[in-house]
Amino acid sequence: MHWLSKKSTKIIMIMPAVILFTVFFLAPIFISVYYSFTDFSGIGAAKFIGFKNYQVLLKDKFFFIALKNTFIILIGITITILPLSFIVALLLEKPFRGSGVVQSMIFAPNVIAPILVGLIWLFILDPKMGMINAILRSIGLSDYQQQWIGGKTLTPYSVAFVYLWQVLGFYTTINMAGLRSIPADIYEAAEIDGANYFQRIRKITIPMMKNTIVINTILIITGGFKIFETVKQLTNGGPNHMSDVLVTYMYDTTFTSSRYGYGMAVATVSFVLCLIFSIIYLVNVGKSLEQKEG
Amino acid sequence: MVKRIMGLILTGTMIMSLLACGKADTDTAKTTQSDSNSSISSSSEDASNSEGDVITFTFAEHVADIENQAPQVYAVVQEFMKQNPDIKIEMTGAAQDEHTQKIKLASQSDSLPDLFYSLKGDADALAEAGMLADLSEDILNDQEFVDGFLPGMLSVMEKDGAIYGLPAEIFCNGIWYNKALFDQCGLEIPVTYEDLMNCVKVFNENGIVPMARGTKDVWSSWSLMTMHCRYGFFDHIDGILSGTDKWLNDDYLRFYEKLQDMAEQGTFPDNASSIGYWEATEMFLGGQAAMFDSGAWDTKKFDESDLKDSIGFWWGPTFEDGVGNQEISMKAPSHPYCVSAKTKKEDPEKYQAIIKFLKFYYGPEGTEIIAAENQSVPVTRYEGEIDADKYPVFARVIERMNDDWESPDTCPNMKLPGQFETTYFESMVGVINGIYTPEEALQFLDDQTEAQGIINK
Repeated sequence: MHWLSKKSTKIIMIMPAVILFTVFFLAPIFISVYYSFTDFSGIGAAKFIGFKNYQVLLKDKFFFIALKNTFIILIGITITILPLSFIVALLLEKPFRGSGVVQSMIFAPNVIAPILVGLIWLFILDPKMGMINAILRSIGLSDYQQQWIGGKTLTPYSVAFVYLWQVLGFYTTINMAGLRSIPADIYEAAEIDGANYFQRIRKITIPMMKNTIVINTILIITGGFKIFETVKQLTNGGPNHMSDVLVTYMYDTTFTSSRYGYGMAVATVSFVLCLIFSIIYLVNVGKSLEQKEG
Repeated sequence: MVKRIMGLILTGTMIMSLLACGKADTDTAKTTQSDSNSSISSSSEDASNSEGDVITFTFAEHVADIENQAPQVYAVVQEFMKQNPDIKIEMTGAAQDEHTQKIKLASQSDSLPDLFYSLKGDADALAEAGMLADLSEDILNDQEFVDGFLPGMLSVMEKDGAIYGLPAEIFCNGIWYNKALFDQCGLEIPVTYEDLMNCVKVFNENGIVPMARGTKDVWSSWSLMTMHCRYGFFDHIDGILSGTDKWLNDDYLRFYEKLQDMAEQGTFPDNASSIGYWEATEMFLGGQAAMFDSGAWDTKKFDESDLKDSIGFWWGPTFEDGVGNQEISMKAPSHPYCVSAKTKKEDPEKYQAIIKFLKFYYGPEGTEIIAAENQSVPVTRYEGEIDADKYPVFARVIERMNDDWESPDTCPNMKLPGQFETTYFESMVGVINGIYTPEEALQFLDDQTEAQGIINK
């Protein structure tokens, strides 16, 4: 047996990654869960209080507002990013003059730091000094001005839009990679059999892109749960937590209000929710793939 | 054989790269620590105790750019080091929120800076945990030094006879006004709440924002706290914190109703909820707003602006239905500078250097630099002259400071446990933003008092 194929060699090779993953990803999760059962202000010792933080959380109006906003954003980005990135990938699949530039421009927002994305869109969406309302005023449509951010209702939708703008290029790139992995001769055979463009997309492209779509969906779900900088910069979660998402509410509770124990309870619940959603989705996709193969 | 050797070399390279990363991070941290605007450094090893005959201590401030945002502090430090070449002060700064988090993290690893700014609530917790040095012996044995403080200033961190900190500055909260805009609209500077609402109506008719405010930064509620004092804040707060009174009481309700009225009358900008304190400052300095809720810490900035001849300062409106004395000002000690207990215990020489610096900072020379050269209101007595032509804004502020309006011993937020300050600000901002009715805001405070377990904390 070649020494590289030995189990012990493989274990040694992956050990650094496992250690790093354990120290920087797994351990903090367990530490957070521990602190979620304590009353801790960040100074001195943490006092164990059992499930009190979770009892408070169940009655916390702001937590449910943050949860609602997170789901609005999650649903909004899932139903827009998935089809939009797929359509854009289809459009860019065949090279055309300037397609490289177009691809770069679509991907460009993804390389901007999220905090700067928030700052850019602040100057577009602000009700008073923002570009959108300024344009509406200048063309005589003042009545159509909205409180895109800073109000009670529209902020989560605005955040979803900003997030879509930021990550569309990223998911388009993944879709393009998926499209290029489909053998061309399958399309040729379908064309010979008389399938039109939309039939080829429906019957060949989408089924063969299933894994790519699954990966994208998982990334969108986890990404949606992690939105932070955009909200922080646009509204700081305000007014009065009306536009908070789970991460910003957790951050505010932990670091601004110095309620580390309660903040970790929020973080733990967010983590569990994200895990549940991902598992449900993966199990359902796994079942449907099995059925199709069966 | 060759492949085995290659495999071993690759494995070794990978391990060495991890070690090198660790060393690079350490080097970066040390380089970063020697710059300003960077992370908190430990009081022992990194800021070395002495290089030869030089004693070095770290001083962590709560602003990112100390030279420009706390110029008086910077100037005093520079002058002190000039006069004491055997003492070096390594200043580090971070924005308020970041600084607060770093202090907490540093407290967990027992690596607090030698001298640092702290929020009062956090300082109380640090003192309870035994992490702050008791300065009383070095402060109180110098009567001349003690007498130099304005009345009440030393009480900010006094606990059971010990003094755990000295006030960083004075909470001199109020409302700045642009007299030129008042004159333009034919208005007098208001005295009562009714006067203020009349001004608000006229300013709105003329397209001027009556009072700049950014509720994105909930903590920028200074003059609102002074107004709350005029509705008996201190008459109820002790009872609330001991569980015998409620936030939802008639006096407080009338104050929150005034907040709602101010918001509904258009006192604040339309986009108050999407801007913060800095944007509100620019709105005022840009001549778009007639008034601005802030404090004396903005004096130097305003004296350097084009509006310096127009800018004045007042304590806010009096209320006909208020509680008690309405002529209430705010001249209370702010959050403290504290010294690490570890420094005092483990490095007496460094501790004495810090005491020497504090005596310089709060002594006549430091006061002169703070007041005369940097137009900042000191916490100590200043008998010198102010050049009113050169610093008209500062002269007006000092005039207010010397008036006979009473000040409470402390600012309302300093009376609350550290973790509850934000909740208190959010209640006021919630009414201004139209999220809460006055009753809901006060009920929110009562609910949070119970949820956060702050009674008798």
